Amino acid sequence: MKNVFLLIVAPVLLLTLGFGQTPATTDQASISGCLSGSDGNYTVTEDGTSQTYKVTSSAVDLSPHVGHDIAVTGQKTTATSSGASNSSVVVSGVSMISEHCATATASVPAVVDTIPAVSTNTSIEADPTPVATASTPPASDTTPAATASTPAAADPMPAATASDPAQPASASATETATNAPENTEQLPNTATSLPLLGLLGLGLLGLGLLMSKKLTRGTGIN
Amino acid sequence: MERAVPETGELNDSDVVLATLLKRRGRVQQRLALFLAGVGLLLLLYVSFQYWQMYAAQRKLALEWQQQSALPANISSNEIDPSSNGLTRLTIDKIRLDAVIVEGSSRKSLKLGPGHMEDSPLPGNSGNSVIVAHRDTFFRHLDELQDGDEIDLRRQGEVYRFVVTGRRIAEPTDLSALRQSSSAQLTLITCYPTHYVGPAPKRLVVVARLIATSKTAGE
Repeated sequence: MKNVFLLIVAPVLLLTLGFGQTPATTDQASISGCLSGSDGNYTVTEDGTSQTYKVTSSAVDLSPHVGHDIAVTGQKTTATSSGASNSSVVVSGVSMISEHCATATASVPAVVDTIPAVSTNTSIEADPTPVATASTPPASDTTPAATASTPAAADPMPAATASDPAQPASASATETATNAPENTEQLPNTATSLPLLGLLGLGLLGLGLLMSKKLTRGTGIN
Repeated sequence: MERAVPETGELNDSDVVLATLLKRRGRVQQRLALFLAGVGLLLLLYVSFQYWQMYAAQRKLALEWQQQSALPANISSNEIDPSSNGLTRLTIDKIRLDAVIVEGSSRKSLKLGPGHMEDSPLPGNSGNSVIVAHRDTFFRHLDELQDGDEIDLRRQGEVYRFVVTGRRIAEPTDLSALRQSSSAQLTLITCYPTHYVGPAPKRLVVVARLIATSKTAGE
């Protein structure tokens, strides 16, 4: 009986481990905006919506980011009295978008909106136009004037987000504000549960066959 | 638990009950064994199917990539339908990796191959091109890369040769690996620890810079 118990408990433990592999992100909220306040009493004014969130954190030191445009991730709670400032976030992670908050928050696009500038910036700075610069060493890739006029269509992959060739070349000056890609709060999760499932399957199959063999021989599991 | 049967061959009621119970328990154990083996088999089939799907997708992509590379030289890249072409092949001899890159870093994309992050420039273009892949498949041996190792990216008759310039372990919230650069740079990201079945709390980031661009001799 003890063995049977172990046979059931072991897979359950393995399954628990497997589920632990995928980070639970369902309750996570991500807000980007300007951090203000001091002495543990911080607020983030969200870019775009101008909604203010009270942010607290025991894991992350927010004080160095006061006055910065940041993206915070964490547990979001909203008070039932529904005041705009009643929403709060317990921060578990913070990343800086820009060292400076925009002056007019309402007109500042959210993180999502800042990103196209990254790709535009990239394409303008040095679209290498693969065919034309086939044998050109990388050093010559940065020929802004010549390549800026290259249409984005020269990049065949849909990922080429150079959708605004008319963007002024000075866009590169906003590099700090456009460093982070859009919609990214975390680096992609690149761990799958397949190896674990495979091991679990192998283990269960082995155990099942072993049990069956023992029982068939009449010795029983006990 | 088991009691010896009296030598006389006489069985009383309690012995009969006990024998019935033992028989029933044997049946339950037999069923449990079959159940465990069945679940195990199903899991193995599921995992095998997932890997087969990835293998099949890679074969298909490789074929498409070859067809695309075989296009006559007089067809310029902007004449090619961007939705079906422009595939990039990633080759790292050091870790025996040869895979065609898919677009995007979603779970679905990464099931099929290394994924190029949509917000980053195309590999070979100026800027920081970011490619992510699973640690248990394509980027299993990514941690073996050292400074100076070469990475080749081939797209539409072009070979972009990168050389590894650094690697580090980063928190998942550390987005500095996605930061744009003025020169052509390649960033490969996978989960860390790479050789571990279990949680992956960190990321392994390998950075390489473009050292040469050339035409392929013909695929």
